[in-house]
Amino acid sequence: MEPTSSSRSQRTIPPILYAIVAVLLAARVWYGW
Amino acid sequence: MNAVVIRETFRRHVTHAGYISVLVLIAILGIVSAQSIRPATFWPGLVTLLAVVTGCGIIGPEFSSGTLQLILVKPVNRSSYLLSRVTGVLLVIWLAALTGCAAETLARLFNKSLVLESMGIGLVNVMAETLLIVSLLTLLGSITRAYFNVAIFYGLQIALAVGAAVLRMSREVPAFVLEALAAIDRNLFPDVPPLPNPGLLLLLLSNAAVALLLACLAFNQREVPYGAD
Repeated sequence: MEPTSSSRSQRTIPPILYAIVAVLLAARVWYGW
Repeated sequence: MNAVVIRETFRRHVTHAGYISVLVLIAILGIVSAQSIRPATFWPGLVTLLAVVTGCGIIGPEFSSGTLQLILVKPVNRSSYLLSRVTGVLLVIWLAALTGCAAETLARLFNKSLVLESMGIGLVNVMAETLLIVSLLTLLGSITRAYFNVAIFYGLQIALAVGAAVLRMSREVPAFVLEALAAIDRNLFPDVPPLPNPGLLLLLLSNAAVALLLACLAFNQREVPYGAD
C-alpha cells in the first residue's frame, strides 16, 4: 500500500546533500581520517 | 529548504519561556567562565544539553502527535522539510552558543584576559559538536517515534562505555573488538575540547552530514500514519 499522503515527487533527496557528504568524507580521508 | 519552516521552528523555540531561561543561564555561565584560565569552560556543556533537548523534538514527536500528517498533505518535499527543521533548531542552539561566547568575551574584556582566537575556536567547536548531536537525534527520530530517539542516544552512549569497560576486563576479547568499540564511540560521541583541531572538526562535520543523509533516506521511506498515538 502506498504510504499515506505525500506523493513520489515529495520523496526525492536534493543532489547537493550527496555532494556535501562526498566532499566532507573525501576531505576527511585526505586529512588522515 | 523551506524558509517558512525554518522561521516558524526558530520562532516557536525562541519565544518559549524555557529557552529564554536557559539563554539567561548560559549568559551567566559565560560570565563565570571568564574567571577561569581556560576559555569556553562552563557554557559549552549547557549548550550541548540544549542541543539534546531541542534536537530530540525535530521529527520523532511529530509522528506521534499527528502533526506530520497535516504537514505532508501540503506539497512539501520531505527532505526539504526535515532539513529545514534541523536548520531552525540549529539556529536556536547556535544563538545560545553565541550568547555564551559573547557574555564570556565581554567579561574577559573587562578582566583584560581576552584571547579572541581561543574564544573563536571554542565557539566553532561547540557549533560543530551540536550539529553532530542534532543530526544523530534527527536520524534516530526518523526511524523511531515520540522521544525514543533521545533514549537510544543516551542508551547507546552508556552501552558503549559500559560494554568497553566490561570487555576490557576479559583477556579473551580480541583487541580489534575494543578498537572498533572505541572508534564507534569516537565517531558518535566525541569529546570536543575548546582547542584547535581540524581533524576533529572534519570528523564532526562529515559524520553529521552522513547522519542527515541517512535521516532523509529513512524519512522518505517512512509511513506517516493517520492520527496521533
